[in-house]
Amino acid sequence: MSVSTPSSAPIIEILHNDHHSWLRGWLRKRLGNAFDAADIAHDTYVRIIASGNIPTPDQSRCYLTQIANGLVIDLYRRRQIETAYLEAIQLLPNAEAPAEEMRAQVIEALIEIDTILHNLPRKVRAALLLCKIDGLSYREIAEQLHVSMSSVEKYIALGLRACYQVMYESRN
Amino acid sequence: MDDSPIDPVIVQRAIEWMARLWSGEASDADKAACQQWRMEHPSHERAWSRLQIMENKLHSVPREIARHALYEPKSHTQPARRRVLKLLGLTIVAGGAMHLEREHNIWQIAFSDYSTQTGEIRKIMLSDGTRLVLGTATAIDVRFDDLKRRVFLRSGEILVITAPDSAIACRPFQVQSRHGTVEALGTSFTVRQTGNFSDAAVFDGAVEIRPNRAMSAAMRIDNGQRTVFSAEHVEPPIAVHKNAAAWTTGKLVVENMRVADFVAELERYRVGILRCDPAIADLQVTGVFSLHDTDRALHNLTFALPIRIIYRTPYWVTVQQK
Repeated sequence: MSVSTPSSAPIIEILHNDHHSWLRGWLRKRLGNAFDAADIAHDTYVRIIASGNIPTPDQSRCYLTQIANGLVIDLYRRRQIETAYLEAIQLLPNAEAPAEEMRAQVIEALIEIDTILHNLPRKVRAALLLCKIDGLSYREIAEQLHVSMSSVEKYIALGLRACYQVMYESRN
Repeated sequence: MDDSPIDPVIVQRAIEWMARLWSGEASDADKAACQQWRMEHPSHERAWSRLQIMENKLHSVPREIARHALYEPKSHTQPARRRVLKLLGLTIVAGGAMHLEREHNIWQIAFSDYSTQTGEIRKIMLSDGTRLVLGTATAIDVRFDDLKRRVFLRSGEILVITAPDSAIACRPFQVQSRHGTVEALGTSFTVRQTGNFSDAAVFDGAVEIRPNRAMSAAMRIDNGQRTVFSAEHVEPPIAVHKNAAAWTTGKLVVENMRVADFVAELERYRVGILRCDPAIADLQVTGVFSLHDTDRALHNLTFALPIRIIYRTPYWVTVQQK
């Protein structure tokens, strides 16, 4: 549905002129919020430029909304993490809550981890977290997940594999 | 740092070693063999340290927060009680709970943050029509999703005048302080957060307060009442002074208030130090004072009481006996 062209600047311009305000309106109607709509519309174009994949004219709006949808989901996940962070610090004793200055840093780290773990099968994700966040041994994890210890080791290896891929092999 | 790709076979080997050593039951022989393998070739050690970056990331987040944010990505769907238990480490993996999850309407999110400087009082209207007044040195996060309208009070004091929710679901409106949740039952109220407790006062309707660590201690506070609560306990309500929300219009209205309490209240609106001489702490003050101009408020205090205001610097002021 898209063609890649080395000299894509004029085509992007056309894509922008023809559809940018339409996209922003489409997003605003759904989000009910002009700021987020403007940000996401902008990021949609940035992403298209970065990828170099320019849709053919008959596919433009379909392609734009598909990318915008993905960005809204990213934003939603980010905000869920932020909300979970807020909930957690409300529930922690003052002494254990991270300082206000740490907030952005902790949230960034959480989002990065979540991005890596997001697509893992549930048991792999659970095994990794039980091991590293809760400090459980494979024997304890095996009991929790109702699997064998060798399966746990396999899950952990799969999890590590996925982490490595996201961090070192997904960039091109 | 060396960013060049590493032979996938070596990466795979490193992964296997790490998965072996994390088991909690690795033998000394395993550990030594892994160490040996890492030293065999620089690329082995490089693969190993890349994997350790992930481990370090997981450890860089405070454990309770990581647990809460990462275990189930859609944690909103869980009842609050379960989440608290989870946070306290009492329940861990919710096997099979995921299928209860409902589809979220991701388009209904509305998030924003507001804050005020010391001395500032700010009025805002939220997307649902709820009006807020932020007192001095206040910070809030507004988090509306398809289930709840929530305001997280990070510091300071707010007045809330809720609007009926236009969403079909009629989402509850909650203010969460560090000590507990104040849920609006159609209403106007203030919440103030200090170090060890929060303070809630109701001017219209009612609220329900649920301390974070003792949900069963929930208490309803009605129109004309106020109370203080900690994370464990809600005090029995007392009558709220009719002028308690005068700060929202930039005024401090007091009746027979101790000078020490008055000065402490004024200090919240000032940058710097404002001290009160113990010799006059128990004198009483009555009147209407400006929170926008606290210097004038202090000056006006000298007309009514045998005191003087000593300015060592504009930021270091003492209220003393004349």
